Amino acid sequence: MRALWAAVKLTLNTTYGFSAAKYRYLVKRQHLWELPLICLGIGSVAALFGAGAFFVAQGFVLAGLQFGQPELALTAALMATSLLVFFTGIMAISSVFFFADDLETLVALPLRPGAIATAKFGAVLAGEYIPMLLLFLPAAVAYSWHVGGGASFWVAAVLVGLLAPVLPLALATALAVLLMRAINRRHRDLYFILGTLPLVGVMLYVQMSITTIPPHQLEGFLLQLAAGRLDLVATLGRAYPPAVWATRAMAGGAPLAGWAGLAGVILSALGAAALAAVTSDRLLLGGLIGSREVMRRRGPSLGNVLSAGLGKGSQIGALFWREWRTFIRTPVWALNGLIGAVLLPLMMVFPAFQRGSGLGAILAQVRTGGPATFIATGVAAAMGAFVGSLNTTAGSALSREGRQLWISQMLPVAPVVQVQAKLLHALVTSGLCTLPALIMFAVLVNPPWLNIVAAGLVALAVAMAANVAGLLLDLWRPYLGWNNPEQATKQNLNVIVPMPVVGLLGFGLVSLTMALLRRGWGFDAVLAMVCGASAVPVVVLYGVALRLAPALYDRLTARGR
Amino acid sequence: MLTLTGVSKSYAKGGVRAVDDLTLAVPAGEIFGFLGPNGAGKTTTIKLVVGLLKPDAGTITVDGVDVLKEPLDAKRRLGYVPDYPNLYERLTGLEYLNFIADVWGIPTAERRRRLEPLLGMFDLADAITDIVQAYSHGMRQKLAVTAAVLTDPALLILDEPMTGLDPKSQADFKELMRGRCEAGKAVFFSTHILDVAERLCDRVGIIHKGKLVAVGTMAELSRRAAGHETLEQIFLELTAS
Repeated sequence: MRALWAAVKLTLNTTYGFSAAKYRYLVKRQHLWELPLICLGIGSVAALFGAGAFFVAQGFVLAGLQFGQPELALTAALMATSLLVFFTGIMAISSVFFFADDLETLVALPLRPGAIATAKFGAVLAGEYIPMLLLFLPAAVAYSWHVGGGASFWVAAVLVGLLAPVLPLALATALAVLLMRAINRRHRDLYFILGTLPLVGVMLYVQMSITTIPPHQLEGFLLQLAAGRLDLVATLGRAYPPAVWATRAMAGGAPLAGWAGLAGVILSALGAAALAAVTSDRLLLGGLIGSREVMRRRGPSLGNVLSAGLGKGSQIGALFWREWRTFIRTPVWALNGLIGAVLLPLMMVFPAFQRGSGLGAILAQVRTGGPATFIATGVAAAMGAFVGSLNTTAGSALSREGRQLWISQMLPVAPVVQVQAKLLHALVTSGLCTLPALIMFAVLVNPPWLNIVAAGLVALAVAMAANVAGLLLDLWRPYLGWNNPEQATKQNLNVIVPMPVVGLLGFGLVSLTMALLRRGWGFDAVLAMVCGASAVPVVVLYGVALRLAPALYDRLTARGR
Repeated sequence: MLTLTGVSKSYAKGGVRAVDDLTLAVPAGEIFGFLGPNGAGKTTTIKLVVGLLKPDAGTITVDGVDVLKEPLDAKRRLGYVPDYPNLYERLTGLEYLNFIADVWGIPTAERRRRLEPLLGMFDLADAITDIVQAYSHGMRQKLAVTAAVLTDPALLILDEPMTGLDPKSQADFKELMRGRCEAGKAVFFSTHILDVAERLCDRVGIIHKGKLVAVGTMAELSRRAAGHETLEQIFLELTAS
């Protein structure tokens, strides 16, 4: 037990870098200015998400009160959280099992494979309490605010909050270990894609389900609800009964329903944890070690291989392709960066393809031209800029080099060229990310080609300005000591910088647009002006980046990174 | 080929003096072995030479080029293999070599001419289209050496190059180093394997607590260290605390 606890502590420490942070801030007392900034950044994002979740949950509670089922908010929050924990859990567990550098160290210790899995599970579980806090806590607060519940409600809520992520994460762990055993380590990219595809499918399915209640069924559905004949909690919970048990544990209801619900939550969490432990104990070692053998094979002759594989390119081309290949071939980076570009526009336009959808009518209006097309161009540009800045290429450009940074430092290539190659990579990736939004704009709205070009230019200019800001920060304070690639982006605060920059620039461009329209400018003239104005920040920031590049790279050498 | 003059480097705001007033010269055509106990300052010295660290004081030149004043020109003349070769895991071996060749501007025919014997010698031909992630430690080491030699540097700098290499690769590697010196290049490497240093190096330097405590041929060191005959005996005497 003591060994298990030591492994859990070690894994928590390496995953979240407690010792490193303690050494940096408390022992060496370096970069103390970062602390308030980090607190401010995390606090503002948490407040934003928490407030949003509270208002949505409050809507659920108030709507539920009309039908005598306010606990609907709790069930919905628990289901959403469980789904999120399950799918992000597959990725997180895969990352710490399959991609982590510390596995060889842990496997060599006198620990059972189940203990290693438990330690890794504990580290991931700790991270999964963040979505619990952001989604479930606001729902509990909203319910308590409007319905009450008292101390017993909060005791049950704390227990449910602690136990609820265990079941989905344990199921994710068992699935991840099974996949690891089945798929050779050499093909772990395939493994990661297999683990991620269900997430994409389920997200699209949920989005479609939410927006597809046929109009003729909606009336009957509402009538049944109003008459109290439909138990919405049970209906929702049919897909995931633990959410109903947890709801009953907190909201009570029938006599003993609360206790029975709590027992259900505890037993299901324990059962799933046991399943994950047994699966890991039996299969983890085989999955980790047994499939590491490197196969030797005879392929084409060396001469043929060299003829096909060697070709001369420029310095900047070589650096760009290095960036591109390492990014696109690391699924956790590529999917994390690119998936939003496809998913977000798709999720927005799904309703347009459904019968009776309100969006269909709006699109018909937009296609008539005039102000509606102009506004749609702005929306397309905003969507393109947003998804173009989500891809983390620039905000983690130096961090992603990690322990391979020595290679870049050894190259006889000026820092300016290295920065240009990184920005070229960000430009290509952001360009690709904006494409789905622009294609949907073109297909759905059918605007003049000039509007498509304008939306694309503004989107790319804003996204790139945000990317340059992210790159500058990453050059200033890179996160190089990561143990698995997921940490380079997901535990790297630099990647969130582009998002507020997009917001700021978007606000500026919208203000400019409004001012020009008030002065009587025509739509085409405004578009041209906004295109020009959107180029200014990116040009200025690009100049700053090139000017600071030598000093920032020099700083890395001076600090011995 | 390599000169260090009064080079010093401290860590922890001057609290730990890793390299202390080091002066050293390695002429062209020489294999120089750099020895010292753990934490003596070998890796720090190497990182200073290749430009991964900045010295607090002193000057370093490679092939007559000042590493601090003209870093890009100096890097162009250097080949470096670190103690643990962290290479791009997601590139194939060939993509990595092609990347290095592109950056150094080596023509296609020339890179092919240089690579064929190296890949054959290190038995990497069958694995060169695999991604580096699938390579063993030894294969990564051999790929890093191949990349360093591919650029035909005037000075090859290696930090513990024998770690992870099998006996055949070690023998081939020694042959490679000797061949480079005969072609008028220089090799500077750190090692713990005293036997290798004794048999391969033209001269040896011993660093202890950041200071160069001895430098010379085996015969010169033997005379200096009270007639000790083996490098191990000399090393132990000079580095005794």
